[in-house]
Amino acid sequence: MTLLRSDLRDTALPSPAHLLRRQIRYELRAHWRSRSLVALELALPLALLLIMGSLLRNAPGGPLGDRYPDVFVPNMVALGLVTTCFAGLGIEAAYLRLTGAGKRLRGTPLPGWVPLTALVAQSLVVGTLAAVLLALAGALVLGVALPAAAPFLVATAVGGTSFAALGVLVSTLVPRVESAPAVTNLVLWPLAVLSGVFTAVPTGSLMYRIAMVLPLRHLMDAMNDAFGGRGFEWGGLAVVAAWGVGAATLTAARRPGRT
Amino acid sequence: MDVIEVNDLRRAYGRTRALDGVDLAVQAGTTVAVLGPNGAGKSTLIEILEGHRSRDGGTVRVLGRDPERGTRAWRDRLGIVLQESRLVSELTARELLDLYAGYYAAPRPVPEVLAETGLVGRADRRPEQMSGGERRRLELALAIVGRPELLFLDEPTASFDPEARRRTWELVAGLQDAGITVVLTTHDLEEAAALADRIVVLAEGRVVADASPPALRAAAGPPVVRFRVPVGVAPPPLRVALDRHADGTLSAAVPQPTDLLRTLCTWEEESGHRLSELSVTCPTLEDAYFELIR
Repeated sequence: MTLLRSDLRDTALPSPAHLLRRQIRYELRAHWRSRSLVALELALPLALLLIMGSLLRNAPGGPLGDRYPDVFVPNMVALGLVTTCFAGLGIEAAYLRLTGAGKRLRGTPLPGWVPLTALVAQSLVVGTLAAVLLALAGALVLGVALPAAAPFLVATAVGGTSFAALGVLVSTLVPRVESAPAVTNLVLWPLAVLSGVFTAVPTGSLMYRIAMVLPLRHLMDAMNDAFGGRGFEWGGLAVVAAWGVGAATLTAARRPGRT
Repeated sequence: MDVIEVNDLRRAYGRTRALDGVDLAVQAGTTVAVLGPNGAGKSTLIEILEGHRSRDGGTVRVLGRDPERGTRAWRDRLGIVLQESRLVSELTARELLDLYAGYYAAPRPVPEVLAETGLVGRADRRPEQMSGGERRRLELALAIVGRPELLFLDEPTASFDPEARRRTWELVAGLQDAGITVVLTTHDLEEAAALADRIVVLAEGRVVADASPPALRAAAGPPVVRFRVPVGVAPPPLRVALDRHADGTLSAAVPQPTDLLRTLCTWEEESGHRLSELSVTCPTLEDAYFELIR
């Protein structure tokens, strides 16, 4: 049994890129085994999409589509992405910060930025899968056309990354690990209702004006344009990206990084 | 060679001085136990040595580096068992060890670490499916999988049953035999005496003792000989001062108790009286510890 390292000193540390890939792989494996997170991020949006979409299958869709599902499915795709990248990631980032798991990792040669970056990457992978799954379910069950690939992927990338930054920021406000789900969901669900995920908010109303300042409404619009074949909604995506940049800047100011 | 060198270390939280001029040197290959009551500054000291906390003043060198400027290569030489932390509950013990082994330059084989920490039969269980003692052993396994030169153990056997505690002691003793330097904090004086070459006692942010367990025990005073003479009989004439206790027994603190015992036996034979409740008590580490932190 070799315990001492005196004859092993020339061995090099693994590269940060290799460690990040490995960490993402393990994060994904752990994530799929977490029933509560899979239920929150995949089962809940899927159930909402199928139940409400079926109930209101023939209801009018408003200015963006002929039928309610034509608008509701893109909205739910946006919400599914946000549930994973904002709420799910916020819970996991709070866990990393508050349980000592992050502190234990900081005592190893793993670069300090790797654990959180791996969590963000994991949430983007799961969020994209959730968005694709919801779009497929909308097409198969509710007869909604699939989105144009490029606008859909751009909206998913910009929305996922920006809401991930917001999720990490909110995780720094969580006081105790037990309250992480409550804090993140307390932000997510009022935001979803205010932004009109489930039912249209009258244009010009106070709620509408507030929603237009927040990022979810703009992500929903980008998804609706992708589903409706209207291309890229660059103005809305810029607002979403601005929220992400702001959140990342605030988080960096609150948590000085370590190399 | 000193693995840890600490001079005039100071750290305050507001007006509270957690560490107030601590000096400490730890030689390579030795085990040092840091003892002290709650709030004495143990955790602050260990966290500064680990690089998890900044200091207000003084100098600190751990494995030749200032921990506040610890590099990846420096952390590659450390192993840390935190006082309290949760493990990723969705990965098994084997997967967690595989993951952590991958962080280091020259990790030990995972099966070897599982065997050494007695976790072979638990390798495919998740932390939530393990007992508290097994989880703590897993944390120890994660700390040694990188082949550390210096190991920090923050209360490694807290809440262990006696058997689990004994097994952990054997494991730490094995690490010591392999030349690993160990710094541990504990509230368990028996543990400190069993594992440590030196005990450092902190009280109110200062080092109040730094000695080997036998030297610390000796500092608490000489052994005490205690006995009872029959009712109505005068105590034997002795050259040492006797203390009379409320229960009627007599005692004397003497560096060489055998001399006094010989005198007492002679007195019994010559006087025809019998002494009862005769005992010799050596001061314990606990006596020394309470004397120091009082």
